[in-house]
Amino acid sequence: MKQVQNAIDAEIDKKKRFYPNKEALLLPVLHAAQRAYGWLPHDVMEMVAKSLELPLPKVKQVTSFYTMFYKKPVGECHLQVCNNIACYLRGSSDVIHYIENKLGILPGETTKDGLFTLTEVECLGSCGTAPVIQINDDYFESVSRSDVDKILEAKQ
Amino acid sequence: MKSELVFSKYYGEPEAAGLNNYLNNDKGYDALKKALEMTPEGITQMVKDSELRGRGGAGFPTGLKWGFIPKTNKPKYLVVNADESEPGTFKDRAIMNYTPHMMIEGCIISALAIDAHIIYVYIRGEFVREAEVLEKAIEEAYSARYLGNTVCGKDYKLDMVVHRGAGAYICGEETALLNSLEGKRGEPRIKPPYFPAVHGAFGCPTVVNNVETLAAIPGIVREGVDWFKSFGREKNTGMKLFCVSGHVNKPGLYEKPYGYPFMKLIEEDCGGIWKGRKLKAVFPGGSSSPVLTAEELKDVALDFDDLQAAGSMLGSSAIMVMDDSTCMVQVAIRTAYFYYEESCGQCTPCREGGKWLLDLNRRLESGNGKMEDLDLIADICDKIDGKTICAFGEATAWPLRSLVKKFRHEYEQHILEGKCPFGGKAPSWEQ
Amino acid sequence: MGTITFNGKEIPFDEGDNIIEAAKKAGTEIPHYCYHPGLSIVAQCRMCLVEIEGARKLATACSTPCNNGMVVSSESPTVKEAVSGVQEFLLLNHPLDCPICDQAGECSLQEYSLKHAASDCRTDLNRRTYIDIDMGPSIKKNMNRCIHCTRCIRYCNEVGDIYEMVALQRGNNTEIVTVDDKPLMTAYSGGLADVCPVGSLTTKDFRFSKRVWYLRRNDSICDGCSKGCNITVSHEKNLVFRLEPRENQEINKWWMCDEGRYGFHFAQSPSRVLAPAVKGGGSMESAQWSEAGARFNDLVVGAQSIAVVASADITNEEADLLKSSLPKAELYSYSPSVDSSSEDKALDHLIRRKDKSPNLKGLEGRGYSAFSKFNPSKFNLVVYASGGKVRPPYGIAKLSETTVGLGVFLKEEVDGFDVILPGPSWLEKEGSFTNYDEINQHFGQAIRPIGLAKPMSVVLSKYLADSVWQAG
Repeated sequence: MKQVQNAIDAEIDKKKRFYPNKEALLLPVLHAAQRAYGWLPHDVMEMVAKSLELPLPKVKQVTSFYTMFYKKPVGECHLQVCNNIACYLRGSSDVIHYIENKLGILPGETTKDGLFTLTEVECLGSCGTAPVIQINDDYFESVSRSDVDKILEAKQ
Repeated sequence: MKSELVFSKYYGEPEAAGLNNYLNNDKGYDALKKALEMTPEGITQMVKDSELRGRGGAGFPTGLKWGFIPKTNKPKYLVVNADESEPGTFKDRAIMNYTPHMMIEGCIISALAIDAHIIYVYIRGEFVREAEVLEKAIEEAYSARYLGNTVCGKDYKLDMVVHRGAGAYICGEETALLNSLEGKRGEPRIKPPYFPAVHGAFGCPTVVNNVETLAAIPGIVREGVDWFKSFGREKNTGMKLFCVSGHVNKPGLYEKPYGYPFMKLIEEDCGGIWKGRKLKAVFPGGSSSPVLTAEELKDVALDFDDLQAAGSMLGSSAIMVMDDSTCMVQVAIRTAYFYYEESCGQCTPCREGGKWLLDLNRRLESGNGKMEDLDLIADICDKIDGKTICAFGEATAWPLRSLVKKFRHEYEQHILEGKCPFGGKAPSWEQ
Repeated sequence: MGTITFNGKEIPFDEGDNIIEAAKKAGTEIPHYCYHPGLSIVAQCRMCLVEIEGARKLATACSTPCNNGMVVSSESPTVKEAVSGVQEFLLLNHPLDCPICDQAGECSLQEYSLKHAASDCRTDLNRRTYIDIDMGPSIKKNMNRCIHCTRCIRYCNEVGDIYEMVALQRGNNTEIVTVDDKPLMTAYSGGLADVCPVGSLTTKDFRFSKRVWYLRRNDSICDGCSKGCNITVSHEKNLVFRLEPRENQEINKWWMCDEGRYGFHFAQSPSRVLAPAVKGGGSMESAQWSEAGARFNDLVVGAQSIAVVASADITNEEADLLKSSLPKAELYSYSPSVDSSSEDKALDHLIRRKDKSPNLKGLEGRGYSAFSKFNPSKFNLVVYASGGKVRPPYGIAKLSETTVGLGVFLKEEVDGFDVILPGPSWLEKEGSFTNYDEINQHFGQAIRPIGLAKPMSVVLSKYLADSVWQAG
């Protein structure tokens, strides 16, 4: 938790000069806190609220609006498969099924070992190279079955 | 047609993103130096004269938008809309990845024109790597004194910061974007005011411009209005990034002048429809644009006005191509699901109607639909269209209404056969 | 000031009026859910869509200020179509459980369904459901009925000045909840039921007690503190079921606190003394009015020195009457929370005040001294007059030789009194209170006196000998 607070403080220090009020730092600080802790449990949100002098309910209201703020833990390797139109046209439904079968989980679930979370997401903005999977911060474009195999093997 | 690669010269070359490349090979920041010798009004006038239109989707004249900024002592803000979330769109990402300095230079010139001293780049949260590239480029610009306390040694302080979104399509809507920037839920604001020019970010005058729009600015200022207008055609000027995805042999990013023939892009540049199949339908401007059939597309040119005349829109120039093996009801489900998932939930028609459309389309795909569902879908779309705070309502209604109207026979087939005539299977994964 | 053309008629508007307000003044209600004059404007229910000449799209009447010369229609086919569409969307996921919903009869959704919606139902799909978590003692939530107007959220933030309700998630899955499922803490929670246009938030106090169409309504003034909030009393068959705030921009605007709202139950408490009583062999025994009245008269006639202690919940008229009927008596006022009105103060930003009696200012103005100056040993008769809201000071009846209670008492309070003459609570009589700000407010009688209670004027004129009245 100490390092989460440090991450929050560092982000505030780095960014506050750009904004006329503290509230505007909410998204950057939530990102920093999530990066440090992995997801955003109540205690972390409380920490963010205190650091920015915002009511906690406000922080929760905002956090719940955005899909990238995790309200429960996600696996070390977060497989976010785009299933929007462009990827769908290029077989993303198969991609999801392939991963489902490989890992034995459905979208929204995490493997028991905590390694993988599978999420079906909307357009990732990489439609020319569909199908695309975002794994943590990186895009894997025009993915093939062997790409997926390699990715999963590397983590296991 | 006259053509030149402006935005995509280094497409696929991450090493080209550095400042040195931009300075040495692309007359980098020459436009800024020129702009510093101009008055803000002069810059704005030049942009007006260039007939540059916003490239985020609405196609509003950029210079005109700048002109709405009032003369006050309040701080003014330039906000870069790098939320790029319209399904099918991936052009801004390419600019940020490979030519970030072109956008930064455009931002600085625009800031001078509207007297802004802070530039916020609101980038979609998923673009982590793009944000990193951009931050690095911004750092370079600070070191080279294009940004900072004295822009190019002049008495002008200018800061630029990347602000990451966190997963919400609606934040591409400029007032939702501003709320999000302010640390709030990304819910669009009431209109009027239609533009945040007077009451924008933090209650201050604000211009929100798309990445590609801003990246077009250095060229206009450096090479001149005539050069810019030598590409494209009247009221649709300049070179343009087109995002082609779906069932073509070579999907990807294509830079063409406005007015480029649609079929030429598909047949010649993209190598035609894959697997020797036939073209069935296209979303020409992202999933929010009404779908066009192969027949309707025959003589269409890619610009704002021609696509509007064809009954659709250029939008964010995201061309999603569907071949004749595609089940349009499945496409409708994907589309409806997206708008259901991404609705902010403020307005009744969008919040409730979006889910209704999804449920009806799902039932139709399963073969359990009823004939009256088809008119119902069109009617629901009518009751969403134009009835909501922001254009998300239209974005939901237009594609779904056009699908049921133009492919009614296919919907009926689902009902009559009691199952999906395409076997209910989504397109397969080839790789 | 200016005029707009509304549905073909020219109507005036005041500076700052939106179209809803201007239409309202001209006698037309533009349907709306999320708009509330006391809350910020969000324009999200889309029910108040109107057509404005020259505008590209329909506009929401709530968020559109009137401009001189504006031509507005709330009746055009386009508007009717749009509004019936909104109504249909809202009903799509609504459980339509009006037969078991307490809001039925005063529900905007119900009312507008009749006025503005098509009569057929075009959906046979499953409706959205939520699981509700308890919100504490005041409010019962039923999220399934919610139409997402967010009035409750804005009410908490803007009126209650507290962040207790929030919208979580987004879109079709948006859920309005109390933060971390905690019970509501605001002192104004009852107002959530007032602002909720549907049956999503109802008060536990009123819930299931009466169908609203049976209720009769009377204007009144709250007796809960020195603020003097304007209220409406709803009652049926001489029983009061609820109090609600009534708009008064100078005093309470649209609001009232929970203490005031739920504070009327004393008047209908089973332990309220509803028949005259006299002391007989140590305990109080019920008596005929004639017997108790005669005993009262005897005590007054025989007394050397009399004090009237009036709890500051009696009306100004009663205070005058006591003064004139007992001219020899010394007069004192009693409020439980302050000795004099100079100690009174606002307890928060909105309504609640420290002085928990409604009429201390009125009594002070009529020469009633502070209770701290009351020395019981000086008097051999104390007449304690009570409106009922303020509980008598503990042991008041035991401080002097003889004590007469006049007004509203509970059984557990009458020990030590010599005579109890039951009177009406403020709901059962008319009169006036003077609030902390010296605003004198008259209120009418909502229900008949309960039990054998008699108005003070009747008691004093009927049972006190003329000689007493004239002794001054």
